[in-house]
Amino acid sequence: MTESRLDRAAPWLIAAGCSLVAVNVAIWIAGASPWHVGKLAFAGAFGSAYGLAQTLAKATPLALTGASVAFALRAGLFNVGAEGQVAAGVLAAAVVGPRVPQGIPWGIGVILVACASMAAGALLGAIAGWLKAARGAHEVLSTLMLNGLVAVLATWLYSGPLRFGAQVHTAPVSAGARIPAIDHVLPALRGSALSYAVVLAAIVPFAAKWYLDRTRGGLRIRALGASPATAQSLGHSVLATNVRAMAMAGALAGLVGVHYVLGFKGYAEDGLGAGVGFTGIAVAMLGAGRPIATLLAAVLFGALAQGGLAVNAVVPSDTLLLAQSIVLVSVGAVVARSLAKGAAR
Amino acid sequence: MNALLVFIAQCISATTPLLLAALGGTLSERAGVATIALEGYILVGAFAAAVGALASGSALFACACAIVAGALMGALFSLSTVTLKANAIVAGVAVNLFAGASTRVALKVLYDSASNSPPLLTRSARTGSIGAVSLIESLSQPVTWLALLALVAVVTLVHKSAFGMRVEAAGEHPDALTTRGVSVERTRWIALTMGGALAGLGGAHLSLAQHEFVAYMSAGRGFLALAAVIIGGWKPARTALAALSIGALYALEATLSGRAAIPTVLLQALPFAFTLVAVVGLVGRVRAPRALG
Amino acid sequence: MTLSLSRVHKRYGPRAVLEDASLSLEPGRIRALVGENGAGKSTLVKIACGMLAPDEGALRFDQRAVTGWSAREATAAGLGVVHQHFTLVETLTVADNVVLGREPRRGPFGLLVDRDNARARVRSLGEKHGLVIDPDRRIESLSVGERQRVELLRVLDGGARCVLLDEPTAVLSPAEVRGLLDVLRSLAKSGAALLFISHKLDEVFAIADDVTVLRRGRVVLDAKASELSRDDVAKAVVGGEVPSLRSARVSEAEARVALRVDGLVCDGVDQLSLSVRRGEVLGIAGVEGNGQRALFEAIAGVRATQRGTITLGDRDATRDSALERRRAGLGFVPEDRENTGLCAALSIAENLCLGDPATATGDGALSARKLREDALRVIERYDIRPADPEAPVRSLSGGNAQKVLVARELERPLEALLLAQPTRGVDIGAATAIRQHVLDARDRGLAVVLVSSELDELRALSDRVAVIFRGKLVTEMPVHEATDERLGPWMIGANT
Repeated sequence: MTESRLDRAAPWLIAAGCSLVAVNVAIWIAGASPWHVGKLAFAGAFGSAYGLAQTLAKATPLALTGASVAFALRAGLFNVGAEGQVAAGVLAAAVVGPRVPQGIPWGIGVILVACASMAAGALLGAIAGWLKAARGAHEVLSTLMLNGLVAVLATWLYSGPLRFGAQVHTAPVSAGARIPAIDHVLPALRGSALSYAVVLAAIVPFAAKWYLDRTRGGLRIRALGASPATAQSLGHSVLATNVRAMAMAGALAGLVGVHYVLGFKGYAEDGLGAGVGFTGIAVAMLGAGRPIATLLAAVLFGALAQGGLAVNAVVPSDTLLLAQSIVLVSVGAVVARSLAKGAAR
Repeated sequence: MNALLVFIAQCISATTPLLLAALGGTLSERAGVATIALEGYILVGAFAAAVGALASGSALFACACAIVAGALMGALFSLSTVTLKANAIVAGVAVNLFAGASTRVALKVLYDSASNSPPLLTRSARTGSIGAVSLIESLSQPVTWLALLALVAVVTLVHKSAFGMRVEAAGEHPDALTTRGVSVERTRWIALTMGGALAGLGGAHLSLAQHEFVAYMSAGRGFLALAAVIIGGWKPARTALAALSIGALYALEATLSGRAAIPTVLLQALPFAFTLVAVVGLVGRVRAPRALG
Repeated sequence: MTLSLSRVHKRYGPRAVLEDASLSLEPGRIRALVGENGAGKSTLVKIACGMLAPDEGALRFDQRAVTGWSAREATAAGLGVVHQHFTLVETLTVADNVVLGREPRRGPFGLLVDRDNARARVRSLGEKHGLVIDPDRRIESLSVGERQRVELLRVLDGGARCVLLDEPTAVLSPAEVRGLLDVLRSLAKSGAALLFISHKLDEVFAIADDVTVLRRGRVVLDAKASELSRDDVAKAVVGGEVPSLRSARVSEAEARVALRVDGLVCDGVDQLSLSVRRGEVLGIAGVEGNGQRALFEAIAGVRATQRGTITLGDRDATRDSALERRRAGLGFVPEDRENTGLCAALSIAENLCLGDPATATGDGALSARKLREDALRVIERYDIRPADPEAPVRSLSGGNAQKVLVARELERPLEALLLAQPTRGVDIGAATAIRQHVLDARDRGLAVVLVSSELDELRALSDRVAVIFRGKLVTEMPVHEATDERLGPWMIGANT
């Protein structure tokens, strides 16, 4: 059974139509010309090498959180906790990054910090997975509470124990763990946040899909998503599969810490990565489990964020972000349920 | 004595928005729709109340604005979950994103600020001991009294009214309702819109009590209210108790922070930690609506 | 005539569910509608009550042509339906469920339910029709038979003069069936027109004035019950003789015991013992809900047991996990094919792969080619359609899905198989094929415990038949003694 091209395109078309209308109405209410704002936004996001680089830099974390949410959905779990897992990943990178010994070969340092970020995200995910399977606590509620806990903890750590002298950020990471910005190869990108972490984000959705479709562990996760009772009657440990699915999803979201702390900033600060977890849900909905679509969706939302900055002088940047919610509603109606049932392939 | 009075005042003040949102959540969850959209309802309600207060100078008019705005958000949520049949979690996240972005846009357009509204409904300072003043301040908030009224109304609606019975059927066994010729969609639309109105009114308390609207001032209260619904076993009276407990933890933080030897971070984490533990401990002993999703 | 359907056609996609089907109901008479699962009975009911529009054909109620009426209009006109699955809200009381949608009101603007009035309505209706039940009890505390009564009360409270009952006896005990038939007779006597759907011929002949038989969407028989014999109806239902099964078994009376259960106690099962040898099928008969499901789940290791031992071959499996039991050669075909048996969203190949205990642990990569080749082999052997390993199981018919499930278990080395309702909702052709595969596996030395609500199936496959009643095996007999007359009293607990 293959879906027709139209079936695949439908969510994108509906989402595009609805958000265009909504955003234009918002721009009009804000007292500007939609055409003018549209041109500005497009030019800001795609019109220059710098703008494009910024768009990709903003898409990087979204591809990771989108992959994270989509991964958990295949197990029938709603990872609303990507937000907190991102925060945990950033925190872990901020703690481990500066402590990477100076002499260590470059790649090893990055891998060390990446592992720490993934472990932090995975831990949060695993807690929610365990609570779900062992205690019956719904993962949506427990991840929301964990988000709140991590946010409180992070704010405190950044304002006190992890604060770097008089700065409002943490200590800079060691040179051995920095991921270089791309602007030293392409000088036109000077000042952009784009680093080689973007490569990571481009690979992860493919790797996640490969794991789900082509390994025994992935098949177990999809069996759980398709029918928990069947997984149990087959002798699977539903607890272990729940924990595994949520931990792996959390690890993918935790990787976002690598982008922000090792790539973009070189340190962490409060509020870094706020919102990318929830936007990842929209990315996952548009991506519908397909890696290329996930990446495209991430770039789309990256462009909206970047374009929003470009038009800020005319209308508030949040105007373009309204599109996110409209996309979620319209696409959610089309794909969410089939995806949650593990049907999308 | 003073500290106790302040604590009680803080309790009332913190519980009011939680209680109203939780009552709204009770209605819409009993109808069978998971409602993480409470967070967005609160935020939009808080903003609408600020606009209403600044425009009219009347707290009651501000409340009416919040109710209408909340109801509109509830209707939006119904449109996507009930009519378009979107997944309720996805639609809830969407409503929350929409609430965050749209209030920021409106803040900028109306008041040319990225973060907060002008001060609203400020009064000359009352005189007296700090405890008495804060208690009087809490009790003079109209939303607090409206919340008590709403509690009685929701309890009656759920347990005694014909509509409450239909809502329960919609959440337990929608086909049973269809068979009897009652529209599940219509029932859910009404329940969700009422839920939005209640939670929106809860939001009004936030901005009215703080005398300003601040971007993202809901700060997770909607999620905690949802947790209160679950801890309360989807029953309004018990949900009110759960909301009061969580409100007390907020009050503890407000009363003790910066004062005792306890680090503020622990106090701030308390509501989330307590709620997580309570939900985990209670699951299995409370029965969720069967068709909740 | 109260209700008539004439020349109704209905298709789902390319599949014709009803072709040229006609039916009429008259006041004071009971018509039985008989047919196998999938013959189109439920579709006919849905069309009659307006839930579904026919592609062609006409529906008339009280001589009035009806096109697409709502459930509310149907009820108002005097048509009531008792669906196969109950439409009761478990958390509400009997009275609430009866009046829901037509609540008596009180208070300002009539917002509140007048519960005293509701109770009175339930009591008086109950006395009139012999359906006595406490109006204040919650549905969740009622037995299946009592819930059935509430359904009837609900329909009667709506003022129904014409009642359609979709397999009302499927989940009732024999005593409850007798009670229901009495109520239906008295209803007909008071002038109601009734449609009674069942595939149990004794019930049909006990109650029906007229009989309609559906086979593959067509009416193949429509006559007065008094002019028909049981044999006429049976032949019309299956369309000629049922294909026979072949068996080439060598007697292995002394074969070793493959599965033994001693003194098993768990939620739903009480001090139950059984043993089955290699190359033997033990059939378990019983009214549904007497512990069949609990027994299988306990043996399979997915339900906690309180006492007793389970032995697989020489191995004490009492403390083994479900996975260890599967590794030790225990197969399990649960009764709920869609939710507990298969993963409907996954493909045929993936479902077959899930049967391999190795898939339950470990993380190795799966070879797409091997998955496909293994699946194609099974698909050919079991004649599964479509013959596409990538097809999701949810796109398969009931018979083909069941073949996937049975193949998943039989196509690996097994000592013993727990087989529940192997052919429920499966067409005759696939049912025969599945039974043949089970017998072939038995001939190769497999031990089988079979639970089925079809006594004919139990007799066709079993060597011994036991009866389960309230979680206990109350009797056991060789298959040639297991007649309806001997099994019946044990099944309803009359002999204990």
